[in-house]
This record gives sequence, structure tokens and C-alpha cells, in this order.
Amino acid sequence: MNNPDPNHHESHAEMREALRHDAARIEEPPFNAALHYATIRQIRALSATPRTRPVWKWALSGVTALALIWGSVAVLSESEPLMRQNHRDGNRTAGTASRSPRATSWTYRQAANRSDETLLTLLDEDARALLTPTAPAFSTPFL
Amino acid sequence: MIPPPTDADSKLLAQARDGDLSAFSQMMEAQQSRLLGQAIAFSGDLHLAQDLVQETMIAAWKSLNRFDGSCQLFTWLYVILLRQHRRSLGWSSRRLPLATLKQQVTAERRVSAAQPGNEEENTREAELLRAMITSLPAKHREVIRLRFYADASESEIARALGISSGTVKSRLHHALQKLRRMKEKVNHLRQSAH
Repeated sequence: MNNPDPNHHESHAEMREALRHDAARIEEPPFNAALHYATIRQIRALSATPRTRPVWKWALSGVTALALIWGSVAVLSESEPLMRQNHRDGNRTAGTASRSPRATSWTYRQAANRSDETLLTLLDEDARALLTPTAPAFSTPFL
Repeated sequence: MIPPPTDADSKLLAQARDGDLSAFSQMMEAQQSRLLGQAIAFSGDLHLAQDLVQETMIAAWKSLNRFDGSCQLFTWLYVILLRQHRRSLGWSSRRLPLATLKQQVTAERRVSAAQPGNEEENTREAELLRAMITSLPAKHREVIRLRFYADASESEIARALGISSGTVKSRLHHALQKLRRMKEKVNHLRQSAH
């Protein structure tokens, strides 16, 4: 960055004067005690909140995701013999998913970054893609 | 020249750094009116100004360990205040387009026709000057406000922003140049209107 010639300061004298004049016009309002103490209360509340909260959020998201994946695997392994049986009987297994989940671990992480709700929605969508609509996962809560 | 902090100031700062909120509260009490006055002046809105001062104090508490006393406490707080304001504006409205200056000159003509007088003229000039400052790029706006409105020296601004004194000089020079050009444009618009 080029340093300006100090003599150029002279050419800005009028603008400097206008700025100083404007700054001098600014009035200081009286001390606002309500604003001050509301701020201090807010700081106290923030200080009382443990700073490890984001870590807890991560841990909670991770545990939820693991529980859901474990649940999905458990449900799949339970329903597989039944599906085979159905197939043998010539019955059509309505709505059995043949697709793989849409989300990757990256998208799960992105969803977890956004919110727990987003992550759960994504996991739910994938569970619906993998499981039959009548799977117990959709009628029995995991957590 | 930065006045050296008194023993009481240093003691309060040390206590606040150790997590003493009442010491921090005492420190901030002395700064609030000046900060609020500045925030009202550049935001033009009392409620926004109060929010900005509140956010500034919270941010100051969180980063108090970064204040090393190399500039005045007010200058350090003022930098935080300016950045909170910049954040509150968002990308879209950080700069005021020239069209707004034209609108302001048009509005000013209508007002001057209705209310002739020195005080009104001074107010209009002040509003125009603040609009011109708002139209500057953030880095130029920052040094102008710190130099002229917070009355910080160039070396103090350098320390508060973590840049060299040469960069401060350069930014001030370019900012003043831009303001002068804008003023010339406004004068031209005024003349062409008459």
C-alpha cells in the first residue's frame, strides 16, 4: 500500500475540519442504568452457561445418530427372515426399500451442524428409504 | 498520547480479567454514555444504538483478555462497536450508493425551501457528512470514525486495529480523498439544481 505524501494533509484540511465539527456536535446521553444492568445480567447469565455446550450438542447428536443407525440395523436384521419368508410364500413385500440411503457421513455432519432436528429428519428420511412402511421403527420410538 | 491508566483502572482491569463482573461493570459504566452517543450518531436509531452498546459490552467481556492496554479502553470498545454495527448492517447495506446521496440532496432542497435557517443547514450538512461516511468502504469508514469521532491518534488506531501506522495514514488519506470527491459531487448536484 502506498503511503500518502504528508503534504496531502493540507488538501484535506476542509474535510478534517468538517469532521471535527460534526464530532463535536455529538451529544452524550445520560447514563442509562436500565440498559447497563440488563447487559450485566445478560453477561452473568452467559457466564453461568457452561462453555462446553457445543461439545454436548455434538455428543448428543452423535449418540442419537448411533442409536438410530443401531436401531435401523436391528430392525433390518429382524425383518429380513420375515421378508425372505414372505418372498418364499410368493407374497409381495409392499414398500421394501431397495435403495441405499441418500445421505453420506458428510451430509449427516452438515445436518448435525445445523440442528438436531435437521439431523433427525435426515435420518428419518433414510430410515423410510431402507425400511418397510410397517417396520416397528415407525411405530415405536427409539429414545 | 495515551494517558497512562491509573492504579485504580489497572486494578479494575485485572479484577475483570479474573472474572470479576462487578469490576467489569464499573469499567463499563464510565464508557457507556460516550459509546451510546456515538452509536446513536452513526446508526441514527436509539434502539439500534442501545442494542449495539449491549452487544459491544458482551463482546468486550468475552474478549477482555485480548485487551492489552496498548490503546485506550474507549478506543478498543469503539472498534468493537463499529464491527458490531457493520455486522448488523449485513453485506447488502454496508455501503450507501451514490443514488442515495442524490436522493438526499433532492430531499434537502425540499427541506431548505420549507425551513430556512442556520441550525437546519448545520443539521443537513451533518446528515450529509454522515451519509457520505456510511458510503465509504468499511476499512476507510473505520479509520475516519476512530480518528475524528473517537479522537484516537494514528498510532493508537494502528494498535487498536492491529495494523501499521503507515497503513492507518494511507487509509485516512484515501478516505478523506473519497469524502472530498463526494462533497464535490454533492456541490455539483446542488449547483445544477439551482
